[in-house]
Amino acid sequence: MKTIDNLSSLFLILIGVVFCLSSFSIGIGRINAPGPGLIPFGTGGLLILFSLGTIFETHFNMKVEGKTSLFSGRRWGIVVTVLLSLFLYALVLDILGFIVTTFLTMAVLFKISEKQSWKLALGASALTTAFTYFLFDYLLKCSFPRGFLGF
Amino acid sequence: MDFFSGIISGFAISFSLINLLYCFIGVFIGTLIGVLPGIGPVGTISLLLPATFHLNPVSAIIMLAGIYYGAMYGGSTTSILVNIPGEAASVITCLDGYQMARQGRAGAALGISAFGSFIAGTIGVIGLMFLAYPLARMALKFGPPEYFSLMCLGLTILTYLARGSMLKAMSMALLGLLLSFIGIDVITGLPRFTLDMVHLMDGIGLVPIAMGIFGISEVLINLEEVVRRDIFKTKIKGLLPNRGEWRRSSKPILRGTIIGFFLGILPGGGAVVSSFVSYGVEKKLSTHPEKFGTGMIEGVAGPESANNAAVGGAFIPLFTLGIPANVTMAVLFGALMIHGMTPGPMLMREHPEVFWGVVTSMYMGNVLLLLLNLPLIGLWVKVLKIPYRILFPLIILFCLIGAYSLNNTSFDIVVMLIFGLAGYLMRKLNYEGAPLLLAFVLGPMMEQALRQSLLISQGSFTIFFTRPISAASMGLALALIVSYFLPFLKKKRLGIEEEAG
Repeated sequence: MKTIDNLSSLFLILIGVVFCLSSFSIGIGRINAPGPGLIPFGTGGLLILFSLGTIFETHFNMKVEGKTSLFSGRRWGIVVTVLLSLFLYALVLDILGFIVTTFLTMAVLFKISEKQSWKLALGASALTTAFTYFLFDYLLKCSFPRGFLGF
Repeated sequence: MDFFSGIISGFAISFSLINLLYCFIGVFIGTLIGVLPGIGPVGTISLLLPATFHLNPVSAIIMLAGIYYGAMYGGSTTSILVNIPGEAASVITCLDGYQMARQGRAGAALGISAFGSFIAGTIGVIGLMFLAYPLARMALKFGPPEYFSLMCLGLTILTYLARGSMLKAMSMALLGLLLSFIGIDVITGLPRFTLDMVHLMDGIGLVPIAMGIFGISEVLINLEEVVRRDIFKTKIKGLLPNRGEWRRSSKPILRGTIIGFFLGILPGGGAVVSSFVSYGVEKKLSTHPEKFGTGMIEGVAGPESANNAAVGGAFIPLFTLGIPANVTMAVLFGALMIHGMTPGPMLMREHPEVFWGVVTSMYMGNVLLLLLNLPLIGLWVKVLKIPYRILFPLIILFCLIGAYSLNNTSFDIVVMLIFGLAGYLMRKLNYEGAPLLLAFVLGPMMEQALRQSLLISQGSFTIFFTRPISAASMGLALALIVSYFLPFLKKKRLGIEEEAG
């Protein structure tokens, strides 16, 4: 836990450094005439400071937090699959169109959580896709992407 | 518009058929998501925000506000019947509410929770009406230093009350501020931190961030755990509390209302904190504190009243100062901005119909909620039985559609998913999402107020300590930070936390 805590703090430090450096390039100005980069520079600096503080806190264990491994005993495989399918959804939505992409993604999501037959998953997916398409595209005029198939 | 004509016109607006309908939709959805674990009011309001774009602003805000206070009612049902809080503000209700259900008193627990919520919610709205008007007039005299200090205080309180490390919560607030700086600088018109991406010129949207951190990440966390939801099988009867139960509950309801309302006003406070404080107070005042946790009706009546009164209180800083007191208010702040209104002291002057319409609609909303939560309790019990394997794909799909329909681009989906992943990891590593989102909303205002203050003072930070309101806010914020690091006080704080827990 300590190592992961430190890694997360280091990641935040990195973000702070990136913002500080970028702030310089857009102009910090002076304290009595602040430029567009001054406040982000100060905020980035404080983020670095607080993240260093977190490393210090973790090291000296000032506040005891969860000691168990983050992923042990968890069904994290499902989480990875869901996330991957959702990123894929965003990538192919404009190419395949709303109906096809949503139908395929929903089928995977309905299937994945617990043991469910493909037949049931596909049926639930078709129903959900049809309902949301009717509600959002037809009734609420959300205009979903059509994709190369034309629907 | 003076106070009384404001109330009268407010009732005329909120009692129109269309606004009553949107109020009903809001409180219905609120109760639904309050009952269902897996998505809270923040995620839902963000989700439905794009759907309100074509509505008139008053109806939209009436509906979105209804979701917030409706969730407070619904959350208690799950806590009492399943021992799993449907909503964070109902966590403490599990302790005695579930025990009451096990003893065959589920009806009384649900009844007192609904009546307590109704009484507290209504008193909270009355308080909001009477306090907001003079406060908004006073707030007109606030300058940039006062605003900056108040926002600093709000963020400090929120990070101080964080479950884990205050340093981590502070880091999240700072990250939220940095994210809010992405886009065009309002003063110079220069693009900042946009990585030359056109989509980032207008900054990152509040809705994809909120849906990611509070919607997608919640689903991911629920997915990796196999949560058994055993509904306590009992016949729910006697929803109207008897005289003895009323006698025991009346004072906790009153105390809960006062605690909730004032903690709700406090930036960084809100429904969750007030429910815990109310429980602690009831336990302390009880002649049988040892019986708390075994089915004491006071342990249900107090916190449930507190979390509903907090809703009324939370609207005060939003409507009068333009400062969201908690993360749900931050999303409502975004909603007002999207509908072309700037929350704050000018809202009452420029858009009185929104202020009075929304406030008065809450009276009707509370009546509707009482009707929804008592006679229709059977419906919510049925909703509870929907398996999560059916529920989660639907929540995800609504999030995807909500994100896409903001600007009709997949970019917002990607942003939402990135923040969903970030929110998931944040939960695992004990980083809280609320300070990040609140800071993200406050960021542009804080930056502007700070830059203006520095211009006024010619670069001197003493300006924040020489004006009374600003000095008091800064002093309190600094005192909170110091108290966290002073070991003696820290031990005391831990002791209080343990006692409350």
